[in-house]
Amino acid sequence: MRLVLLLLSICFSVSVLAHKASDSFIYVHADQIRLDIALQDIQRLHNVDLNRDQSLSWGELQASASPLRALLRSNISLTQGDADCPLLFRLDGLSQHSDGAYAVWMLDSPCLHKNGPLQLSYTLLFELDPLHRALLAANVGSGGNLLPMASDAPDDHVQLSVLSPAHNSAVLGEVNALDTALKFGWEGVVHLLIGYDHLMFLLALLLPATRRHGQSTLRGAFTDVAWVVTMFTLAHSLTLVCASLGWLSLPSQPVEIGIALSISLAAALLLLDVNSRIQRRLAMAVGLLHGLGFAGVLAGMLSASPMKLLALGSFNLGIEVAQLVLVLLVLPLLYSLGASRIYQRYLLPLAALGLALSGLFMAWQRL
Amino acid sequence: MFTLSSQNVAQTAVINSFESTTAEQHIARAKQALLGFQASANPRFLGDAQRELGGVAEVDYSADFYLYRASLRQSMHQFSQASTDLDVVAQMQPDNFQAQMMRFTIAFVIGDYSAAELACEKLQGLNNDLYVAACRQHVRAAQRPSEAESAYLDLKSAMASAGALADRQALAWAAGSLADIAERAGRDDAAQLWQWVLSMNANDAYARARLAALKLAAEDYAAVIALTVDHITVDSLAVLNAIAARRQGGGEALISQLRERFNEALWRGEVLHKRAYAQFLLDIEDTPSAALTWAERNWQDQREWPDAQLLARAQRAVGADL
Repeated sequence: MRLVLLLLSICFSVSVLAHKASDSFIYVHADQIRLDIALQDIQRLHNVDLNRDQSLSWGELQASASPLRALLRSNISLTQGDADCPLLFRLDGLSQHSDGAYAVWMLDSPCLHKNGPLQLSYTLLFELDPLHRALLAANVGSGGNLLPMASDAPDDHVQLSVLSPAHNSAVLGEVNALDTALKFGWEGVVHLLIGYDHLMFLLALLLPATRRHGQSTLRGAFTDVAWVVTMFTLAHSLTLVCASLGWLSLPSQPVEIGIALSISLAAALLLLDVNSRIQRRLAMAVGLLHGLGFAGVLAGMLSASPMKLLALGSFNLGIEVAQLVLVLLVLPLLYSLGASRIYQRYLLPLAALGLALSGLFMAWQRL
Repeated sequence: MFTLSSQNVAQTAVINSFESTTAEQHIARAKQALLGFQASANPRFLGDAQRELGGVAEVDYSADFYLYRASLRQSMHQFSQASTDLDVVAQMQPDNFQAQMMRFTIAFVIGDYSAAELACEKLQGLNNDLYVAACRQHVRAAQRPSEAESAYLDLKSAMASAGALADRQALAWAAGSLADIAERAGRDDAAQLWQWVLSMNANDAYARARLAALKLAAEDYAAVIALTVDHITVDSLAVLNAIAARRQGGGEALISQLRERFNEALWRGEVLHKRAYAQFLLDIEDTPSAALTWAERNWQDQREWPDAQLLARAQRAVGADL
């Protein structure tokens, strides 16, 4: 847009377009903190241009390192719990950002090498420029722990925040409860969908509901299935929680083989046309095994999370919600297929046979 | 060696003086900072202006205070807060020409043409009446596209009757309005008119961007690069330069610099130049749906001719992708 100027001696039509706003960059790692300050901003804080040639040399910057360090010390602090952490500031070099050269400072503190949440406060330049911001990126592990500089954290492990006069401090490695719940809930959904053995077992539990088409309504079929799936869910939640909290531990190979064989067993019961009470017992017993399987997947992620119970609950909820949605989607489809004689006579036995053989094959593979 | 702009160095003296200051001194410094911003487009000056205005006690809020705060807010694209300040100025000083001009500009940019018309009529008698002719025809062309051609002719004859020796600032302002109307009317002389505006003030980055955009549309990439190459600190000009360079098989260094600049703005949470970003997403990153999202966000803020053009292009690109 055209901007109306404040002095009529200057021509009217000048753009409001800008370069970049005044930002510092703070990169937090487990071993040190790096602070990049624009040379333009350094010049605003302290006259570094000693020879007044309107350009800055590395020598001029080094010559002013001491007063600049004093400014940094009085405007940047690190605390752990209630204790102030000593901070060392070292002028390390120059870097280039999208709007020019920045001075790089390295900050070290013994607190960085101790466990426990750290709080970084930053007020540099705020008095001078209320629009100044510090853009902070912390290299955070999935557990909220800070990662060392050398580790190349994936993007979702870089925690970004902005420090401003109104919010001038940040807890480093802080993990938000909602983020944890969403992240682990989603992991639960994903692991249900990619856990093909779990899905095959679920299918073996659903198929019997289509066997007596005509004898029961969709509602009746759904009630049967709902009971079986609920038993299964309760059982696998129980072992998932116990194993994740370290109360129960079984070697993974027999568990995995047991899960594969459970598919064959459920398929065999389907062929034998047993009643739903036996199915419920099977679902419950086998569910215990499936929970141990999920726990194996979750263990690595969970050990890193500071909010274990929340993470565990969300993961489990993710699995259950995905499972319920799948049942609601698939059951009406299978039920309508059940009306066909070809399905009853050929497809259903074939599917059961296929599931039984797949289970055996997987068990053999896992030996 | 790293060069500092002269304005930044000159500022040091101002900034380091935190001794007791009167309201008038704060306001005078805020004005200096805003002028620095207008001359350099460096947003650090806006921070300086904010600091100085923040130092004025509420009992000392004068018409100038509100005027400069409005200018600051306008520069930060906080249009409604700027308008609120301008309303106060208008109450305190109904004859304040700058305040009325700013009111008109903001109303026009956000597409509130009835408010723009009102502000335009209040300019009558405050300064050269060429301003009134320009804003009247500008609103007419924007509000009723079928009358754009007549608006063009009427403004042109008003400029002719004002004479070549008319107030140069008024003439430059009217020429900018005429160039915009010419584009709306689909006239071929729009580029020539923007060129004329630019020749009256080479520092006019707005006219430069409008001219470069027309050259880009005409696939005259060499002209786009010549117009923008020394102005890549300005987002919109840098984006136009990058597009022209890309179409000639280059521009990678500038593109990665722009990508970094926009990513930093996103990180900061303030993408002031949404149109430039949307154009970058559309013409460089080739992500039409993201471009459309930003073009729509930009449209919420400002509704000038290039904003409408970009929005329509992004909509077509998304439609073509489906």
